[in-house]
Amino acid sequence: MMHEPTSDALPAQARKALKNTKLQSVLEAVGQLFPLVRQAAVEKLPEFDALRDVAAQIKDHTFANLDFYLEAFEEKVERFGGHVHWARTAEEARQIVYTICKQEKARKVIKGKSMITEEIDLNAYLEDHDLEVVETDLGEYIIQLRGERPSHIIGPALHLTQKQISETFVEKHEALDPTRSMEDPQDLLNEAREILRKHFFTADIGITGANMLVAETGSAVVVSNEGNGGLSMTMPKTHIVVTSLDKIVPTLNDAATILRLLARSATGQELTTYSTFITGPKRAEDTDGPENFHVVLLDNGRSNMIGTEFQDVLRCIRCSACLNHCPVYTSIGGHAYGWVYPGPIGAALTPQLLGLKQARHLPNASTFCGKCEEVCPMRIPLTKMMRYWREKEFERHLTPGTTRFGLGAWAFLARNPRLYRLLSACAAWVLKKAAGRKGRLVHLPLAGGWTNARDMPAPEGKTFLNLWQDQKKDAAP
Amino acid sequence: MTHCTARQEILGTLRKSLHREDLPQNQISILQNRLNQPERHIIPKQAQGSHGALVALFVSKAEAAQASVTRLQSMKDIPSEVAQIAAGYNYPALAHLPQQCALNELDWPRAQVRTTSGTPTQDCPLGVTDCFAGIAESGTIMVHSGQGRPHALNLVPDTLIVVVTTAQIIGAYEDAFDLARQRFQPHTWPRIVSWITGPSRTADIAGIILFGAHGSRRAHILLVDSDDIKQQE
Ligand code: SF4
Repeated sequence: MMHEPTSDALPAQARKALKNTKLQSVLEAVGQLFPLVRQAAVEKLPEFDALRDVAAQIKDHTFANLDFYLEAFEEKVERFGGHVHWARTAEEARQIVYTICKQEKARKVIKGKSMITEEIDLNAYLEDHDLEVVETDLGEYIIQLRGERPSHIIGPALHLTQKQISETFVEKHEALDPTRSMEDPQDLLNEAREILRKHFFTADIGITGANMLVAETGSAVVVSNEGNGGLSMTMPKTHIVVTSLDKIVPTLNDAATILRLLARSATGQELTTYSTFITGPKRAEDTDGPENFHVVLLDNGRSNMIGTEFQDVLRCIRCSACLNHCPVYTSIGGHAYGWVYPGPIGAALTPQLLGLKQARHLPNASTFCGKCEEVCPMRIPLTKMMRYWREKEFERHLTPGTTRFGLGAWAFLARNPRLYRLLSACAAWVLKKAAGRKGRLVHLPLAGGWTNARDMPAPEGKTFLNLWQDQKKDAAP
Repeated sequence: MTHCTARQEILGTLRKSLHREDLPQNQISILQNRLNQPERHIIPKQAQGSHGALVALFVSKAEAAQASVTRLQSMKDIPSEVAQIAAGYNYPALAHLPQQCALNELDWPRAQVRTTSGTPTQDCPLGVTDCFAGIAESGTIMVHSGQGRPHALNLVPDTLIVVVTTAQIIGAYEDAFDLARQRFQPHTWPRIVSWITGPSRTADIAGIILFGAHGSRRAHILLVDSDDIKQQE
């Protein structure tokens, strides 16, 4: 069954998440660990900030000439014997994939991690058409067993504790002894590895996403720490890359610049374990590889964003740094956002993809502390975009009275940053007293109707902005 | 003809969004040039040291990514080193090699190691492969697919041993691409070019870092000081 977005229920979902103690313990770790490892990796590369500027320029240049680069990419893919399919909408993309599956008389599809296939809800569609779909990224596999959707872009199952995962394995891996040992997380991994390995060798189709597309060579770039991507694109007879047209960069050198940013921002690694450039199907002389290679290029409204104030959000490389550093995300988790893209990137992108009526709460789920922008490797002005959506939303009068009032006041203050800072600084000590538990707060100045349910790290007598700037000072050499 | 209509419509929307028609010819040549002569952007200073410094950097970065590195005097030392690693993990003395590579010419029988090749099956304890280059800036091994070189061999073995010579160590990602362009362009390009940095890993079980998710549980690098290995054909 296809999934319906529930972003319009964000306030209620956020309240529920705040009361979920298991989730809260996991989120606290996410909010502490990821920023630490990212910071350590960034400090080891003196050129990091300069690379961010270059990466943003590369993408801006690409977007200004996107028609050219897409056609150049297509020509290269075809020269090596692959096919490029253009999809205007999610529905078109699903049909293209299904048609290929039918042509190949496929029964089993294995998948590497792909946010675009989440965006188009591909698994549900293929399953409704009687295909067996197996996610092979461990996190995706776990949530597939549980019938859930990802809660984090790079760690889809990060909302779960080890105990919850072992319970799921006992329940779903029925053929195995239910009393087997599951104490050691390595036991869980070994179990999944063994089960999934069989699928790699028996699937008809492998579907992966792409972190980038390279026009110079017609390559798709797939990064993975687990190695499931590499197996998904190598063992089955057909490999389908499902991706979107904003993923393209001109050359391998451009890709190298972005790869220097991606892993550091995501997991604090210098490079993801496997960074693979795939170009076309198996060559005549090759020992292994798929006979068929397809790229499905999804638009889904992106071509309309080019040339507008929203073009910048298309620079996103889905590293998750903005989620990991967001006081709202690390308080309510990914599911509360009600759709595929959570956190600041979701707040900036989802209203464009789903419409403001469905996504109207997302841009409010922000303290405007600016941490997301501070860490975004692609220098996406996330708060500016959220602000834009808030104003749009206010103009459209879609919100009930109290929220509207709060946002109206907020918008006024936002245009007067000094006043806003002053006001929130005054309010900080009150907020600290109001904090429901240590280090978290439940109110925000003037942020409207649903802030009562929000629970965020409380400033120690300072505003988020003060705090963030202090931290930066501390971190400076 | 959804394909054609979708393609034309998307390209049309893009051009409309960009407030222009097709690009003028002079702009197209500029872009074509950018593709044919890829410019380099910022290269980290670290990746531009002397060759000796790059070899040292490669070793420290590979180890930081949880690969182990053993330095060998000569290619001849490889079989006995592999035999030791196999014994250490209680594997049978069987090494899976790429079919067309100089590793096959080593004296494996003397180290009592049998060799095999082809696409590895589900159960493959030990793979040994040469590589295209070693990239110092991140301690990364670069491999590619081709005749007698199944990509599965880089992923399926429980333990992957990669042989790299000091002469193969280069500084930056861009250097690696330049080497590949020299080797393969203008007419060919391998299906797979893959950068491998340490063993397979995951943090999907409650954020705990575990090795051996789908790819190799362990990655050993044998760094050979002499330059007598033939590079991948
Ligand atoms: S918006 Fe920036 S920080 Fe967030 S996922 Fe995208 S690239 Fe990463």
